[in-house]
Amino acid sequence: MSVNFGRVRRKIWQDRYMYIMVIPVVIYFAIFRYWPMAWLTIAFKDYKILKGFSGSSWVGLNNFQQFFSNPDFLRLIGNTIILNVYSLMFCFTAPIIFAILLNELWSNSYKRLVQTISYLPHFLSTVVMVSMLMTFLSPSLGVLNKVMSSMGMEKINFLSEPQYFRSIMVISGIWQQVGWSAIIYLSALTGIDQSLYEAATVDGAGRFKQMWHITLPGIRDTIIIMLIMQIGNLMNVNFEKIYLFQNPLNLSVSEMLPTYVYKLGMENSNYSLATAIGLFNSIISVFLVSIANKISKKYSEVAIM
Amino acid sequence: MAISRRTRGETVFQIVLIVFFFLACIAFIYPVLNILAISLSGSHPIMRGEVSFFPREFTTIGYEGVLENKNIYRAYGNTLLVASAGCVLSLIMTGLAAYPMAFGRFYGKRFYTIFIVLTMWFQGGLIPSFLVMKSLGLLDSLWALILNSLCLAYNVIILRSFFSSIPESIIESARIDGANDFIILYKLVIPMSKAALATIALWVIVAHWNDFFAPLMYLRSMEKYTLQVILRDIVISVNMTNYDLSAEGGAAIPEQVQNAVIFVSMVPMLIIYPFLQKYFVKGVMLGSVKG
Repeated sequence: MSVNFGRVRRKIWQDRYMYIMVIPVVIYFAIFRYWPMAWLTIAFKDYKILKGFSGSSWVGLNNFQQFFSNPDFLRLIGNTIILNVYSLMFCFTAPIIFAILLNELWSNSYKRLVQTISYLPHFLSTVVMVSMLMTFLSPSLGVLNKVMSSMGMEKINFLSEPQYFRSIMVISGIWQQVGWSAIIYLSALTGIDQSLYEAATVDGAGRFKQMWHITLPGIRDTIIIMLIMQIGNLMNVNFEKIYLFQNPLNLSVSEMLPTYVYKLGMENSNYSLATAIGLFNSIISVFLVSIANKISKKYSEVAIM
Repeated sequence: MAISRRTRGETVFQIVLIVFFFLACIAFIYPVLNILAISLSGSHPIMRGEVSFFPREFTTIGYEGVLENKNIYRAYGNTLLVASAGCVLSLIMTGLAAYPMAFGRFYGKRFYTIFIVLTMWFQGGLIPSFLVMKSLGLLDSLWALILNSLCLAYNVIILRSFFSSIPESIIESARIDGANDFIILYKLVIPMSKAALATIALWVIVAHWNDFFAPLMYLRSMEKYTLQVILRDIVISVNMTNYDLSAEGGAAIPEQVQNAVIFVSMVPMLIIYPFLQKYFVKGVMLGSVKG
């Protein structure tokens, strides 16, 4: 096996502009994406700002032990997982149902109008969304309490009662994302062969039978891909929304791993412990994605990695 | 769909659907209209909770304080600066990143692609990113916000798959004519990819405009605050005195001022909404094909 160095050199010289193009990109990714990964090592250190990165001593798995033995450990993980399982059950399925039903509308212009309007909440910032939610749920001025009291029910302070926190998060999540997330399913629906429906009609299959036997299988691959991605995000909650919605009264259900990491690191400057918890969180995420990917590969041809 | 005979059951189902989607649309729009209505209503109907879709006892008193407030102007300016500079720089970086992936056949391309794509699945996370910004001395600088999301692997992949739809033969013949890759990118590929670039540009603008978390982490002084940060203070923490927006003395009540601020913050998004609509949908579909 002989390598022709002259040819290699010529090829590299030929591609010099490619390399010039790639250099700034590689530098950017090295600094802003890979350097933070190097900082992950402080999870195994007792990092002190004054001592600096190299001056801080190694402590092995102490930070992880400290976290696992924390009485809040199980509650934080539990809160994170429960909210995400609810989101998976409702926020994930809602756009699929929304898209399928929207596709059943006869009038195309009405379909387009509904779709256009349904995107609107997606473009509102989380701050605006949370403030709307607070106005809507407010015990004194909120519309919901007004409706409830007019129906003879007692007023509820939704914002301070922990038992409503998860429902509020899930329902507001559906409201904000259903139209937007449905786009992908709607585009998959247009790919279904229309002659299948005609054949099914000839065979006497009703609308619902057709939905079950043609529509759903037609978008199955899209659903699986979205599901894998969703599972990858199982440990990543919508940080902004939860952080903004937290108050001392609902903290028992609203404190999650990411919000805890933020407070520990940014408010208490306990960088090492916060990084350790963040790392723990990422490792679980990567693990979940690869499992979901494997399962999907086994039972269907779809995989994202 | 071909016109076929519709059964009675199907017609009933269709009517149910029409009503259902009508109600859904009201639910999607109502909160935005409600904000506008409250911001333009008199204090009495607001306090009695009577304002829903339309302003009652019309007044613009809430906006008077907001439009004269220099803190809000400054935050608006900061946000505009971050969004526009971030957009231009992101497009340049993402274009430079995607072109070699789509058309390059250089040594190390495989490594380069993995180097970029890997960051989609694994990242340093919150605290390490913060510590990097800190070591670079970028804390309390608007540059931190721009650099933080300058080039996202996801956008690079989207742009690459768009670039890949350009026939290789066009690129080859330009090369034979003696054009280097920068000229090909600038003169040939970019003009052919306007739709994809517009999508990414809008994505970046919206993300910067609505971002609350990065400014919360990286900014320290009030002069640097972006819109979402002061919006949070005014609307959620109800901390209006810091921004000279105190309702005392003025004739406006907090609800009028708060909703006026919210609405003012939404105006740019509402203006570009029709464009967003058009390009975003394309972009999402693009992402779904190859993503």
